Amino acid sequence: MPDTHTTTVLPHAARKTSVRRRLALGLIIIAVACCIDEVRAQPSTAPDFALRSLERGNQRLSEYRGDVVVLSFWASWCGDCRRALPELNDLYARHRDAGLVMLGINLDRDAERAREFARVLELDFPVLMDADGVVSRLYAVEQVPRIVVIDRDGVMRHVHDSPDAAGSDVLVEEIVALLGN
Amino acid sequence: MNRIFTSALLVALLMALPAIAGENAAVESFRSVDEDAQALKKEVLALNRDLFVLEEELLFPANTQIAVFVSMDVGEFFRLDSVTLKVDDKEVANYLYTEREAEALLKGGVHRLYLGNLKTGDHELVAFFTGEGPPARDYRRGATLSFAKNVGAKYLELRISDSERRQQPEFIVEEWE
Repeated sequence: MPDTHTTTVLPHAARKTSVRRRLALGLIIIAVACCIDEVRAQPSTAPDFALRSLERGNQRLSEYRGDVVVLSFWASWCGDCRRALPELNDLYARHRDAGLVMLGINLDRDAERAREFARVLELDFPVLMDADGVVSRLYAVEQVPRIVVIDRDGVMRHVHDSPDAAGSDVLVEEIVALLGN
Repeated sequence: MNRIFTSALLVALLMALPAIAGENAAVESFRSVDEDAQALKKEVLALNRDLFVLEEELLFPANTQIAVFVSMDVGEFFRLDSVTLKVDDKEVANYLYTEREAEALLKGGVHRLYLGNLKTGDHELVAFFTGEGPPARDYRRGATLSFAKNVGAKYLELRISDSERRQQPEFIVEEWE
């Protein structure tokens, strides 16, 4: 019986072209990946937003351009937030005269719950209500507490998701460095 | 001796000349680079402005464009908090006003609340104003306008003014001719 299985063998020139094409494609993929990493590494402008605050009317982030702003995303059901918020309150008290602005962005659906929480913890900074999660989505908040540090030009410089970040020397150094600029 | 001295002086002068010329050239070069940089900056700003205008013209062409503005006249009876806008029963804008923005409106500023596209025909606009009214109570009022969209841009104004006669704020929606 004749062998019906056939194998197509590319001529030598065609094989070379095929290898070159794959090599070129690989290089392009690597270059694009590097560019993506480069873009990710670039600091980006903090998305602007306006939210209602519990006590001080509506607050818009862009109105604080020229100050160093710390955004603290929190919720009353978050245990780590209960530890972090007093630390942030102290930080705010120490540096507010130097131009530090702190905005607590609360994710609770019940404003009264957030208000009671803020009262018990004696928070001095504005608490903004983001019950619909619009701002949380803008800042890709997947867990709380999250701390975002924004410089005087409105650029996001540092993001902390660790529950211990609020009381850390690293955060203080970052803020002091930005306040000094 | 004099000849040697004169020759030495000439040689020194000849050697110094390129250095002096070089320094002048460097200063001139710097000045030229600075001027070029300034000219480039002006071109970039002009280009940026043109791109912005082009973007608006492409996204919101004049024949389907609708723009809604908010203005405030006085403000003794109403402190503006937010405005929600619906066109043909669909929410298209919801804006929170900060104290600073409300102050700007009171001082004569006009805020472009919404820029969008509408096809020709009859449409309905409903605006809800939320704020603090007399006597320092939460206040929410609506205003409606039915209008015909023709070919050409349509401009609508949401005007908040005080009615001394009624001692209450008035909310008016009107078309710009």
